[in-house]
Amino acid sequence: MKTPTSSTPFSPHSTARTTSPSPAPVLEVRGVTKTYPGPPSLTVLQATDLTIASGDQVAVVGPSGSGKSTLLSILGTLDNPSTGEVLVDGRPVAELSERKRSALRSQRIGFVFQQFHLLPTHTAVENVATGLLYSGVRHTLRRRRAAEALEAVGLSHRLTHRPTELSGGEQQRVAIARALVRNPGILIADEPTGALDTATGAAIVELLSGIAALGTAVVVVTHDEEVASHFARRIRIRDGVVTEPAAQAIRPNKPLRQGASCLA
Amino acid sequence: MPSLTPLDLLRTAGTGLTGRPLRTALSALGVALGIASLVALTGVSASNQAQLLAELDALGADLAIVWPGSGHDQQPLVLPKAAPEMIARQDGVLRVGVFETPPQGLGVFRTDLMPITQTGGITVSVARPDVLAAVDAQVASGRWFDEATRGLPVTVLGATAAQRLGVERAGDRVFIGGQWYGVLGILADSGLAGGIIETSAILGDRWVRERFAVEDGIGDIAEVFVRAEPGRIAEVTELLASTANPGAPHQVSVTRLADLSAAREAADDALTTLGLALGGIALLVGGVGITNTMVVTVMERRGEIGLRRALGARPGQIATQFTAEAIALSALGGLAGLALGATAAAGFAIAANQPIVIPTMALLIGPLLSIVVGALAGLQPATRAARVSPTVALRSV
Ligand SMILES: Nc1ncnc2c1ncn2[C@@H]1O[C@H](COP(=O)(O)OP(=O)(O)OP(=O)(O)O)[C@@H](O)[C@H]1O
Ligand SMILES: [Mg+2]
Repeated sequence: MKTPTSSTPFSPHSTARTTSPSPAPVLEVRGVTKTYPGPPSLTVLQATDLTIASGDQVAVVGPSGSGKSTLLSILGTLDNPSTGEVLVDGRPVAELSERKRSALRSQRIGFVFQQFHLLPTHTAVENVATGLLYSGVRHTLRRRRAAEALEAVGLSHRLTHRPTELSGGEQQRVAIARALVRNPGILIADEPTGALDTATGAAIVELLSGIAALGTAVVVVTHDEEVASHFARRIRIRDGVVTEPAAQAIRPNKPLRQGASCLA
Repeated sequence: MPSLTPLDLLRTAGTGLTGRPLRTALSALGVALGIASLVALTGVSASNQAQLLAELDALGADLAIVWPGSGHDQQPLVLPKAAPEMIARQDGVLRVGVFETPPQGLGVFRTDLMPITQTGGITVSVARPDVLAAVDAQVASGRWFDEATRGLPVTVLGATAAQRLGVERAGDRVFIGGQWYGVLGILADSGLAGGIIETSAILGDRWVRERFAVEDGIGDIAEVFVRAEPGRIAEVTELLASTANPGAPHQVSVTRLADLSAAREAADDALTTLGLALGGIALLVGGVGITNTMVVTVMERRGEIGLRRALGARPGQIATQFTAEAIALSALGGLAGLALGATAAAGFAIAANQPIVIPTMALLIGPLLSIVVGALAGLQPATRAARVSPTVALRSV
């Protein structure tokens, strides 16, 4: 298992991939369905095919209960599909042992949640460092990279604040930094703006779509059309049926503000 | 495959505990009390024993016992009849007291109706009148043997012997070897010969020599207690063997009373046993308390567990984290208990004016036990934590 030792949080190889004409898919979903065994058994996802490449900006839009979180947990290898297969970097996830799958998550996949899931006893930089805890990175290096990631999301002035001392938007930025510090191939966010007001949410969306520009595939789940409109690909899900309309106009993204140079 | 370093594990477990200090303190209380009672009572017991030994050393400092040795074929030898007088004349010797060989197979009973086999653990000793002063014994009731009574069918009872027989004062009678004896006196404090006469019915030497004249060894010397002038016991002891039997000093055994291992091992095990029992119960209760706390903690922190799984923690690492938390909780209690128990034992020792002794075993076993208790208590909650699905992080918790 490779151990990331680079001191920069975002190594240049993923950026390189976005510039190639047809980027290699980081994530592929083939004929995936999900049925929760009842009783009564409930089919939440109908046969779904999806290919996500490096640098893709994907919004998954659908009403509540439509199966967005279910799809996301399968994309993030947190849950197994009932049928079909999921490939990360071309490798079928189902074949991996629990150990290898955990390692894959720690190396390749970043998560951002609606309720942040920050550890209340930890400072911002400690919370972000937790993102590397299971990747075999030394403590001191973890903290250094955490500080860099916090700088990249514009929070270099809040390193030692605890979650209760941060605004909702700042807490979500810490959570995003925790996902980014791993330099993941794919970042998965479930309703990242759900607990935030509109203005704060917009800033978070801007941050997330900016990350995709640097080569990490970003998949954001939202029920908010306005949020979705900032992403190049919009996938709709309704009663477990996933459809992807032809590419639509996207709102221009401003580049990342603070710390953008660090990400490049 | 990356796994957490011990330090990472400690940090992770530690933050779980510092998050809720009051709960941590309350949960560790049971284990703390368990270890505390363990350490305190073994400490008090050790302190008592140290005190006992100190007293023994002080009292027995100038006392020695001369015994007949045994020959090449393990046959008991005999001390010369003149030994006591010669020892008494030795320079530096203050007093001597002589026990003679008792008649064999005498039962001691309260009445003549008891079955012969039931002796109640009471032995028969034969003493010359000089024993009382030599061993520093005190008479609680009645009198000790004198020139007249040493030839009569009377007995002086050791304190324990009197208690077992149910004899409360002199003037009663007891049934020894098929014959009634009047109780001449009862000893209160058996002084330094306690081990020998505490449980004895003591008979007068002259009476025994007349009544049991035909038996083997009657009139022979069993032990000579020798009291030296203060501070001279070492030089006295060195010469005792040749004084007692100038022709064959190697046929004589000499022991300083302070060195008698039987006296040294007479420790108060009851307190230690009580400490172990109380500590064991408290540890059990403490362990259950920690299990409860950990079950609640795991339920409350399902979101955190889901997050850690999403960050790449393996189920085993989650289990290890919560086991480590339970162990840390218990060890915290163990350390607090150690401090508490040691303080209590020291306080007792100071109050009782005894030496402060905390057994090293208790100091080592206390923390070790608390770690074991924590590991056992954390087992079930940790297994539960490991089974929490990583998808819970996506659900609003
Ligand atoms: N573990 C489970 N067992 C059974 N049914 C489940 C389970 N998890 C989710 N469901 C059901 O699957 C359906 C889709 O759930 P999901 O959480 O994916 O919806 P969602 O699109 O994320 O909704 P929301 O926008 O409210 O978060 C719901 O009807 C839900 O009740
Ligand atoms: Mg959802």
